This record gives sequence, C-alpha cells and structure tokens, in this order.
Amino acid sequence: MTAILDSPVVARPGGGKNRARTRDRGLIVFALPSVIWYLVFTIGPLAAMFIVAFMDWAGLAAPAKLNGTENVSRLLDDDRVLTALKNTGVHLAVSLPVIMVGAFMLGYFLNLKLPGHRVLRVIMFVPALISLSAMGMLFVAVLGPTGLVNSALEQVGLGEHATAWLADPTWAMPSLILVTIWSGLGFTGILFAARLSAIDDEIYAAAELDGANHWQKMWRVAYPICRDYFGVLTMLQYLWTLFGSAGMVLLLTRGGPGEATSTLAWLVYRFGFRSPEVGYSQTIGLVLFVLGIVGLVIIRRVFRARY
Amino acid sequence: MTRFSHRRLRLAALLATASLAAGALTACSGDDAADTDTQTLTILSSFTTGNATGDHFNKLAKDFTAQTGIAIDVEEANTTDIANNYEASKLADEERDLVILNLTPDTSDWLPQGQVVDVKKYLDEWGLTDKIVPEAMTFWTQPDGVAGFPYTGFNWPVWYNTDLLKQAGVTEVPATVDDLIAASAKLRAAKIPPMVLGGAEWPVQNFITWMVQQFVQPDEAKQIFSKGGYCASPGAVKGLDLLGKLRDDGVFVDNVQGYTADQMTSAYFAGKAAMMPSGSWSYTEAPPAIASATELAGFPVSAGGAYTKPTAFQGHSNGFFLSPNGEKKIASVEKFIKFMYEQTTLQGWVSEGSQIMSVKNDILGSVTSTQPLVVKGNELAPKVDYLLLPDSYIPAGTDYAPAGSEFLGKKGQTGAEFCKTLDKLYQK
Amino acid sequence: MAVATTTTVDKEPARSVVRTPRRRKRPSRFTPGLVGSYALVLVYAATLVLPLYWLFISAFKSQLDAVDAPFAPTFSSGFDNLTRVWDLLNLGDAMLNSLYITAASLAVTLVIAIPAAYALARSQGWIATLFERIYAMGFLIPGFAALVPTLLLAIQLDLFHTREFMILYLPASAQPLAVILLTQFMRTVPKELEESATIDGAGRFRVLRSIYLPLTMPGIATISILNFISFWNDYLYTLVIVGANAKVRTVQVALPTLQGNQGITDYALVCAGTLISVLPVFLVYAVLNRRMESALVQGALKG
Repeated sequence: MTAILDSPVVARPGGGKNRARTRDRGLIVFALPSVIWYLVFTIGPLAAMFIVAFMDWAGLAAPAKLNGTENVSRLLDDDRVLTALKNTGVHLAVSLPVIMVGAFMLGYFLNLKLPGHRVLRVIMFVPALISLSAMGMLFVAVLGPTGLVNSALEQVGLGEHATAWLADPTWAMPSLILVTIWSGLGFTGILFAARLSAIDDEIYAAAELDGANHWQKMWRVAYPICRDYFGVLTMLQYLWTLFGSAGMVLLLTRGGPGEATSTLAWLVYRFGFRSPEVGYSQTIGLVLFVLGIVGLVIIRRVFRARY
Repeated sequence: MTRFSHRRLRLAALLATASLAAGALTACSGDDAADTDTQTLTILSSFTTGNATGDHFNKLAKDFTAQTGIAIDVEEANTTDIANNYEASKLADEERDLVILNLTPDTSDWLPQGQVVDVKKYLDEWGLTDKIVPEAMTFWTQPDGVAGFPYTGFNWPVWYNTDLLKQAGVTEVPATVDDLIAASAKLRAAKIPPMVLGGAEWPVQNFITWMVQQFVQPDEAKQIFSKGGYCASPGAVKGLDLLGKLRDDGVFVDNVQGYTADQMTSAYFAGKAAMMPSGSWSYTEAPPAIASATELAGFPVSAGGAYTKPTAFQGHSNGFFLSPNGEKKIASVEKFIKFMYEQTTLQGWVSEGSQIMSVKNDILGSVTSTQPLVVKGNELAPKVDYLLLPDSYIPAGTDYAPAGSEFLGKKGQTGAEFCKTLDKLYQK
Repeated sequence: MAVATTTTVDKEPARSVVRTPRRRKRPSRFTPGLVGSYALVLVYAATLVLPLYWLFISAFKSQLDAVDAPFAPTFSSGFDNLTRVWDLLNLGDAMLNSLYITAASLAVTLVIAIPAAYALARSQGWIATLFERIYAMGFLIPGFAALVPTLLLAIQLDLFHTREFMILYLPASAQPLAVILLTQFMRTVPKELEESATIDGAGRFRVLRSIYLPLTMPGIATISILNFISFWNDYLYTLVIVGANAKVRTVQVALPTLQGNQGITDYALVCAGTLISVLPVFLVYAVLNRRMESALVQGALKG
C-alpha cells in the first residue's frame, strides 16, 4: 500500500498554482453565504455542547446548573464508558477498513459500466433510501430468533447453530459490524463511482498498453488520482460510524446483551434521551468530539488530504 | 464581481418567491389562529389513529363537538417521542391544552416542574374525585398535587393457550411453579414451545420485577426498584434464582433472549407458544380462535413465596394532563372532562374501545365488552394477588432489558451473579 | 480557445467521444477476476434487494403474517393496507408537507453550497483553511445534542411550529457535507479551462455556470440525492420543531404514530406507509442516477 501511495502515476490536475494564486484571492467571498448561514445555526449548538458538558441538567424542562468538573470525574470512574470505548474501537477498526477498501473497489467496478451497472447503481443505494426505523424492523426479521437466518440454518440442517444473533454476547457485536458494513458499502461505493467517472479513459488506456490488469489500474492509476477524495470519504465514513452507531445500536440491540454493543455514541444518546442526564451525556459527547478530531488529524496525515 | 452578485440576488429572490408560493399552496398556514379561539380545544394524544383507542377517541371528539360546539384539534404522536414534543412546545408557550398520556417516570416530573397544572381542585369541584377508583387517585397523587385526570387502566396476567396445553396432556392451568416446570417439559415433549417472553425488550424488565416480587414484599420492592440493592436483598436474589431456574428448566421458548415485544405477541397469536405474560392492551388484537382458547391467570405460586395466590399486575396509568394554556380555557376544559366522565362515554370505552376504566363500578354501571378476553381479564381480581407495579419506581432511563436479555441467554448463571449486573444499572 | 468552446455543456459530441474507446475495449473485458468480482457484487446486491422485497411484500399482508412469516409473499390483505394507511394518516397532505420542506431546503442548500465549493476549490489562503476547519467541526456535533439549542433558536426567531424554520435550518446543517464533497469534484476541473474562458472575458459567475456546473454534474447530483434523502427522512427535528399538527406534519412524523406502545404495532400497515414514503425518494434517485455519471468532457479536452 505505502509503495503505491508514494508513487503516483498521474499528477493531480490543476498545476500552475502560482500563477493562479493572486487571481483567486478574492474568490473566497463566494463561500461567505454558505459559511455564515452555516454558522448562524451551528454556533449555538457548538457552544451549548461545551457548556452543557459541565452542567447538571436533567432535560428540556428541568433547571440547569453548572457543576464544574463533577461530570468529568464521574466519567473517569465510569467503567461503562471504558467498555463503550473498547466497543467503539472494535466497531471502527473492523468496519472502517472493510468499507473503504470494499467501496473503492465497488466504485471502480460500477464505473467499468458493465452490463447491468445502472440497475446495480440503483440497488447499491437501497440502505440509504430506507429510513432507519424500517431498517430496524427488517433486521429484527432477519436476525431475530425466528428470523430468516435461523430458518435458513434449519433448512440446511444446521438448526443447532441457530441463535438469537442480536442477543447473543458472542454474535451481537459481529452482527452490528456486519450491518454497518452492509449499509455503508454500497452507499460509499456510489460516492466513489461518481468521482471515478471523472477519470479520463485515456489514462487507463495508457496503463493497459503497459499490460496493467484491473487490480493494478485500480490501485496504481485510479487510487493515486483520487487519493484526496479517498481521504475525504474515509473521514466521512469514520465520523458516520463513530457518531452514527447510536441509531443502529438503538434499533438493533440497545447496547445489549449486557454491554456487548454499547458504543460511545449510544451512551450519549442513552444518557441524553433515555435517562434525563443531558449534562453527563454531553460530557461523553466531548470524548466523541476529541476522538473525532484525533481521527481527522490521523486520516489527514495518512492521505495528505485537503478537505 | 458586481455582475455576479446581482445575478445571484435575482436567483435568490426567485427561489424565495417560489418557496413561499409552494408553501402557500401546500397547506393552510400554521394553526396559531386556533390558540386564540376559545371555542377550540387542542389535544396532544398518544391515542393514535389506527389503534383501538385512537379510533374511538376520534369518534368521541366528534360527538363532543356536535353537543357543545367546541371544536377539538387533536395532534397525535408516538408514545416514545410525545414527551419531547410536549416539552418543546411548552418552552415556546405553545403547548396543547390537554395531553393524553401515561404517567411514567418520563412524565412524573411535569407537575413539580410546572409543565402541567395541579388538577386536584378541578377533580373536587367537578365531582370527579368520588367517581375515580382510590388506587388510581393514589397513583396520580404527587407531593405537589394531582398530576392529571386518571382515565384508563390495564391488567397484566399470564395467558395460557388451553388448546396447546391439552395437546401436550396438561389439563389444568399451572397453579404452582413446579406445575409450570412440569407442564413445560410436557409441552417440549410434544414439540410445542412453552412460554414466550419479549426477552430483548421491556417485557423482560417487567418479568424480572415479577419474579423478584415472588419473594419480596411491596415495601422492600419499592426500595429496590427505585434505588437498586438487589444483591443486598435475599428475597430479590431468590427471585432472580427463580428466573434462572425457569430458564434452565426450559420453561421459555428457545432463544427467548432475542424476542422483541412484537415477536412475543405474534408467536403467541400464531399458536407458536403456549404461554405468554402480557397485558390487556393486547386483548382485542388476539385472533378469535386464540382468544377463545386462552385462559387468563396469574403467574403460578412459589413455595415459601410472598403471595399465596397466583400473581399479576394492574395499573391506572393513563389520563389527561392539563397544561397552563389549557387552564386559560378552563370553561371549555370543564365541559370536555365532564363529557369524558359521563356514564355513556365511559360505557362506550368499555363496550367499543375495550378499555379498563379507572372509575368505580357503580359509576360505570353494568356494561360488558364484546371481547371475550376483556371479560376474562375483568374476572381476574378474586383469583390473583396484584403485585406492586414497578413503573413509577424505576427511574427514567434505567433499562433492565439488555441485562435481562443477557441473563436469559446465559444458562447456569445464578441470581447472586445477576443481581450485580442489575445493581450496576443504578450506579450514578 | 477552441477547447473552451467544446467544453461548455455541449454534451452530445462529448458522449460520442467516450463511447469510442469503450467499444474498442470490449473483447478483453471479462477476465476471470472480473467475473469473480461480478459474482461478489451480485451476491451483495441480492442482500440489498432483500429489504426492498421485504418492504414490498409486507405492505400487502396481514398484521400477523408480517411478523410471523416476514419473508413469505402471502399477499393476504391485498391493497387494503395501502389505502387504509393513506386515509388514516392523511398521507396526501403529509407528502406535500414533506415535499415542500425537502425541495425548498434542497434548493437553498445547492444555491449556497455550489459557489462556496467553487471558492474553496480554487482558494489557497488561510481563510480557505479556516473555512474548511469550520465545516469539519460540523461533523463533530452529535445531531441530537444540537436539538435543544436549535429549538431555542426557532423560538427566538418566532418560527416555532413552522415548516419554514426547517427550510432555513436544514440547508445550514447540510453545508459541511455538501461543500466538502463538492469541493472535491470542483478540484477535478482542469484550471486551463477556466483560464481560457477568463481570457475570453467570462466573469466568475459565468465560469461557474458554464464550466464548473456541467463538469461537476456527478458531484452535484450526488449531493442532491444525499440531501434529498436526509431531508426527506428527518424525523426528530421536524417532530420537535414543526410539530405533529396534521396540517404541517411530514410523512416521517405521521408514520410513527402507527407504532402503538405495547407490542401491538401493525407492522404490515407501517410497511405500507413506509413503501408510500420511499416512492418519491426512488423517483428522485431514478432521475438523478444518470447525472451521477460524468459526461467526461475532459476526455475531449485532453484527447
């Protein structure tokens, strides 16, 4: 991988930066409406997040008061947070690489425009089209005790391996990871396909003349060209997985059995919405915030991406 | 640059106009006008359309408008989110006049926080206090007053499918835990799954408190449910051991730890389980063949336990909350509430809505539901002991289900181990 | 010069340019590795079709069948569920409300995000870096953590219980993703194109409209579908801020009222409602799908 990273076959389009620099200086005003619009609606939540994290606040209707570092010391003593941190680590470490590499290859595949690629593109988007609650219903129907997986096992005579997949301490986390990969792969694949379609066919043709096969064209030609984009999508996928696991955990396992699938994002949700401890929920939210920043910095370094 | 911003401006203006036009077309603007009109009562309701309660309520609302000329504007929301919805609108002082909802840990803060109004005065003035059953009044009374008008209740026994029991050679509904275990063994021998339970969701939480109370008196149970302390209570550990014994002796269906509440009900309704602990809200949903084969009874008696009769739950948790906005229209509210407590209305809820009303029998008069299970449910009282309902004691957000699901899946784990997991849920 | 004119949105000739090399490649296309990959993709696609199949057949069966035999095509209740849920929840109005909020929000999102992405793609200074950091921050706030401050803002602006607040709020929340992704697409546009057009006397806005927009259509289409989906599916914010009043509630607020509290939900009815609610998303996706493939004008330029 690193060897490939270090030997880009094709330079990024858009050379001649120096000449353009002076000309482009005023262009940034084009970004102002978006940035201002965005800040108006985000500055409040962002500030609130940091203040609420140091508050004893039960919820929407309850009175709130600052309680200094009480939440932080509670957090440091809370082994539920530690468990959730581990679970989050496992969840990310398995699903992120699989999704990113798989989605890139899928994007390349779709872009070959083989017969049926249009239909496949529509199908790949399905997880994004179906709302989270419908998805929850579906997975209960697939992985539940009387679900599709178990009846399939019984049909092929493996009935004794049937289990309640989402409620089995051994299988709950793998199930969660599998669902995460399942729902992220096609979606991110489509995002890659859109970017890969901007790569000139002539570049591939040149590589073909050198006898490159698909694998080499994918990683030696396409990847270096889209490395920036790969970095950006990795960042997005990282954040979606890190923060978005709350929704999936809520629908599939609610952190159980025991604490087998309790992730940090789930804890933020649980304390914020289930038990009225919005303050503490936000303190855990700060941990997520820090993890988010650390992840962003690392991903930025690895891909030397600009976003 | 100037040329650009000019065009952009025009585009933005165009877009804004288009949006406004679209907005005007899609629906009549907001509903703010309704708030100033005292001839309209606004209600936020957890009785939703498509369910028996919601459909019957919509009908009543029409009758009420026809009688009094006061219009009713009902807004519906899912039980999980309705409290958020109300609290948000209260923050904007745009809350609905009345809320139909359960008094649960989520809503029990409303009265002390001033989100809703103390209705004690109105209950007395409108002569309702004497109509309502004492248990319901006790349930709704808090230190700051009465949180709302208690309206409907429920009971929660164990359902036994006598057809399936007979197929397995069990002729009597199990009266003791030993009977239950023996019956389960016979059912399993006949390849009939015995007892189904929503092991992954709230039914398991309720069932844990059910088992614990087999060996714990109400006063101690109150303590445990609100503050934790399972391990410190020998009775509670014994109750958890009982749950472990039922699990190890095969009383539950296979993989019970993965069942959701819906899967539990469906399994029983499809004849794929012979027993199920479930409440009166499901009575009207049962397929006729299952309903007629079903006998309702308590959970069997444990030797040396806290109760001598089989046990079940009952509660009076649903009612009307009155908001500060609602109090401003108190004359209309009075007409509405009085209408809801009229005998014909109450009887309609029983005969057509199949509900259990939180009013005394002489007020209700003689009325029976057409639904066989509702009738059977009402005949439970002399045959069972009612347990302490844990719902108002377990703090909001304390969810036993993930722990309970794990326990149901861990063959051999004892109550002495499980109590630690439960106590951990109470840690700050 | 001549280059710039070919690239300005003249798609027909551009397409034919792409087709030629494709035809040339065909004989060597199906290597064993590719066939294997195709098989894998098909397996994955099959697992993706499953939910659609399930949703579809569940909408046409009875309440009991939906949970008891979720994958059997029983068709036990015909079209009853669809018509019933449509009437019960007044889905016609709810769909219009959803469409109003979604379409207007999407328009605003694109109008402010496209110039911003153009600017960020072509700017190097510290301001650009700062803006990028600001957008990145947006991903670090858990959605539900921002709910209360947003609610307070809606009340302050006197826009509580209005759909219009969502039309202001949703585009703002969508900016980070939209701008960051679009910037990536804008960077693929060769600078030479812009420079020759500028020499031609085209202003910034014209450059954006006639060079960047057509060339980044796959990106814009992708952003559009992403945002359409997330706006259309938004539940919590819409419920709390717009509210559940039948006059203004959206499809996503209407549907969950079907879910009763205690294990007696009619899932067949829920599926019927969900099926109706995903139809517009499918339509939009079908329309935008083609746009997500590039017209590859760069080929014309370089070749």
